[in-house]
Amino acid sequence: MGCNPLKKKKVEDTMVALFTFGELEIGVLTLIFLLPVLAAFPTWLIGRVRNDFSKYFALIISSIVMLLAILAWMMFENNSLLPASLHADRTLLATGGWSLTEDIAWIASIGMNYSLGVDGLSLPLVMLGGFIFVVAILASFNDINEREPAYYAMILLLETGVIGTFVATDFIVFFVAWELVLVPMFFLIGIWGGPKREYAAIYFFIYTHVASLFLLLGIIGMWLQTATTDAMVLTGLSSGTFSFQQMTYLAQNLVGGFGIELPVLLIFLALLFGFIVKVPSVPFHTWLPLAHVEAPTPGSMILAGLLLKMGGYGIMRMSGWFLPEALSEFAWLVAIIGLVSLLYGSWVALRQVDMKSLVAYSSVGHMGIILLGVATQTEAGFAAAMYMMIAHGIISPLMFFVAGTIGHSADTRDIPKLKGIAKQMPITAAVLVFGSFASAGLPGLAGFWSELLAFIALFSMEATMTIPVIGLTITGSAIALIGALGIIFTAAYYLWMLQRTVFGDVNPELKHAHDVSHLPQYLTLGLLCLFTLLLGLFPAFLIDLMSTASGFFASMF
Amino acid sequence: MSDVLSVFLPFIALCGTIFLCLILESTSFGRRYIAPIAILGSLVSLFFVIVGINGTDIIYLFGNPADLFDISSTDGLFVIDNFYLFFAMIFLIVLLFVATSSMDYISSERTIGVYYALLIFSSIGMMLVSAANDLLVLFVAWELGTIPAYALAAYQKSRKETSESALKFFLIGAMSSAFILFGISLVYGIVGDTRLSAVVTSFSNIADYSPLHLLALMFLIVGFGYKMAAVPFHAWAVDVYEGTPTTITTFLAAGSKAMGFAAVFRIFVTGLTDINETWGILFAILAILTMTLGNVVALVQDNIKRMLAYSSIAHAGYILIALAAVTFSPNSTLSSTLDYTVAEFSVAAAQLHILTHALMKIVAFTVVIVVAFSLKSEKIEDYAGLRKKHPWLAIGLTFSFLSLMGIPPLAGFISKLFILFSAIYADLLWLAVIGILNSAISIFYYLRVIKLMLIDQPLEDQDVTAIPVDRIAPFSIPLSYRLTIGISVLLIVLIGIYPAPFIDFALSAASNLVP
Repeated sequence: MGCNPLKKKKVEDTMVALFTFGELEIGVLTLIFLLPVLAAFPTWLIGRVRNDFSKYFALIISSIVMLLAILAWMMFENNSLLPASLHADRTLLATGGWSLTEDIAWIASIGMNYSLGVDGLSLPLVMLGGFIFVVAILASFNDINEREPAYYAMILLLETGVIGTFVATDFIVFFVAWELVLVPMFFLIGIWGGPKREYAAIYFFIYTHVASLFLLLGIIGMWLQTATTDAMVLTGLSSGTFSFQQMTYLAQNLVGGFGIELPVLLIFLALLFGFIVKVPSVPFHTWLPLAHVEAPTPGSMILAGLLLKMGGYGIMRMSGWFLPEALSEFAWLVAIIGLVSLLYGSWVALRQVDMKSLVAYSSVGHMGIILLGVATQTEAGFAAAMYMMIAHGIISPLMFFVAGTIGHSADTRDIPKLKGIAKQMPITAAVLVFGSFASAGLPGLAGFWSELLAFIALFSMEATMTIPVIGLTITGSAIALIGALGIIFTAAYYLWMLQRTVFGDVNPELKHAHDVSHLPQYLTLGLLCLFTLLLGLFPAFLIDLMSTASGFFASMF
Repeated sequence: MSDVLSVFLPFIALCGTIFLCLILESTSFGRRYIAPIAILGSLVSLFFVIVGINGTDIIYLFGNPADLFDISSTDGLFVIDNFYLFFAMIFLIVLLFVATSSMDYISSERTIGVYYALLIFSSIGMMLVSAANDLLVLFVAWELGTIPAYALAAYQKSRKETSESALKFFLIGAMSSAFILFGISLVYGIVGDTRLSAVVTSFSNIADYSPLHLLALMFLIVGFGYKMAAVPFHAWAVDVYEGTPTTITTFLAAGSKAMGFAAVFRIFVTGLTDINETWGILFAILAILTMTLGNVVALVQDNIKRMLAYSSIAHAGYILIALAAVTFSPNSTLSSTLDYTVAEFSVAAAQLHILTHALMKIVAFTVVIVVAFSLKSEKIEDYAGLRKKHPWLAIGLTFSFLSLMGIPPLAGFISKLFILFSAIYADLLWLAVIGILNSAISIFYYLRVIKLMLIDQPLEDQDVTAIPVDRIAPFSIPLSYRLTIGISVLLIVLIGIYPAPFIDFALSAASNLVP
């Protein structure tokens, strides 16, 4: 195309002006982080004028956020389509640093900053977040029919919380975003949920809030670790700090990192507890099936696709970037929790009657693989965990959407009652089969690669994990062998579920059931299936994106 | 000279307002201007206080009998520092909002001039307590802060429960004053002086303590404990909060309680104790008892004012955590490395929490006032479906409760964070964990009300015999309440998002106070 160079220059200048904000030092990440929350209240207001406005407005805002996330990715990758002045500084990435950073003093007296940044670990999650919210809003179009203005305002508030957790590089900003998620999720379950919604909402809120409070204790503990004399010589600050950057720097440069003294181990346990409740791992998983069953379908999609990833992200960030020594010390614990979650989650999923509940327990199982990947302390293990987060982040919303659609049109989600839905709702049934296979790890679909990587990592794991007190040493291969059982269970419950629901004669009670028929529903299904397939066919895209992060992770051990 | 004048300006504004209120009371045409003038007066006074913040010098008043304007003598009766300014700011904010919300609450009563005059008198007393540098001055200021409150508590004579609770308030208050006075006289008997600087020297070493020293301190703690509504001295608070007119409940929960803390900080942090573990354990036990009892009993309340009263007790417990942390400071392993010592940090945390707690309670009680007018009920179950009748009230109360729970990014989170921070900073991990567990308990009762308001259907919808909502004449909320709730909610959000100036102010106040 004969593009006028002068015109091109002008376009570039405008872009630079738009996304660097000159002296203010506000960048694209701040826009991604704060745009949804700023739009939440207007959404509610214009929804009071006319109900429909709120959903279109919310869709527009979330699409803008997704486009901004893609822009951030292009800036991060130094994409040649962008002018050079928009390219991110990648020099710090190899040493565990962040890119596209923003840093503004917030409470200077205790070293609290408003600082954002992305790296190979958080950027894919930011993109996933932007994507899932667009899809969830599309899925809400036919699902949510009452109090729409408040609903879409809550969804946008939730988006700020979720994405903020991933872009924050200051522990307090992280915690604020982390806690911010609770309030809109409470209302989403409590107002638009199923029959036992109030109980489920309060249960969810209290369970995860208590865990967050322990997380907060751990965060304060981390601050005190950065306020020792040795640490302050290194950071050059006159107080402790909440900055991720500084903590990573200290973990590398203090002699022996933060060490494995009792306070550090306690901090590790407090943080781990805060994170695994969100993941959730057995035995702290009980809120999840309840919340999933009662939440509205889009709420379940966000819950499974993103909220669980916050916990996984927290564990990976904490163990690789700040407390690697403590992770080595507690690798046995993390591995056992992961293994138990994998086995127990998939075992219990076999016996579930409600389809949403089955998918919820399958999430518990799959999240166990994240813990196993982290526990190996290797590059492959980290990549497995990362890949599982993204793959599960796309497949589980797909499964929840299908389950919700079936529940909506057949008036039941009980697997024994659903029979032969392939005849009544062919598209839904086809997607159900596709999603189940993807989730069970069929080669060529997204779920496969993370399981493959996880088992490679476990078999090739050199470090041994010794359980203190009883002195039992467990190896990666042993865990892999036992864990394989979980994979078999996973295939079993999906196949059994498919066999009971999709095929066979139609249950006469389901004659009224109808297939998906609206454009937003097609879009939701299409987008999620497309990315499941793409991630299955081209794993290198994601693995390359996070290669700096996984390399750094392995280098810390 | 000009320094001294700037110290007096807030008081001059308040006294002038009292004078105007009483004059206008006696004229028939001026009566309706009383409330606006009282609001304006407190606003002007608040302005003068905030303007005075910039000075970092500590001013001592009346220390030198020969020269009234000598401000350097540490024997002065009053000490004007950032600590005083911080509390003056809290008291004046409370006064401002209580005066505003009283505009429509008290208008039917005949003697509104007296009402506002008493309100302002009490605020002056509270401000003087936080500036007192002499035990006798402290006691006189304490009485000036308390006695008008007795009259205010009994202001709606026609209500039966008001008279009962006012009498209870008066008897308990008089007893606690007696405790304080007895404590002070014991101190005078030991030291032969009532100036804080002299008292501190005598009490500075715990090895020299006689039984009398301990007895004096015990009397003082009990006396102040009543005002702070710390367990086991809390029993009066719930009945009084429930029975008094709700504007005065706000005043007691937000202002009067803060006065108790101001006095404790002035006396116990500046010196009456050899700051060490013995006292820390005592305050820690008080803190645990107070917050646990407050939170647990609040769970089973069905009257919203009683629930808020217990929540107020629980929050006094959180503030006591910081007080316990103050006394632990020399033991902390970290105190040498940082800009701020543990003591300074803890005092700042407590002050910040007193400020945010005041704002949250102002919102909560003002919503209770409006709902009581609109629904004729103070029962929690009648809050069901409040969003249909008063969406903005429901949102305002939700903000206040989320902040009381400590959900970021609201003010309550920041101050609770600082309190936990101070506890861990002082190596009191166990106390922080107990505080966290309490915070978890408290979620139940706050969340129950939020669920009722925003999720549930109104009772009328469930009960077919009742009149449907839309047929009841709409109740329009008077502007005074809207302003009170709106501005306080904005402040809660503002302090949550941009706490730095408030924290820096609290820290500088704390470093003024801590020796």
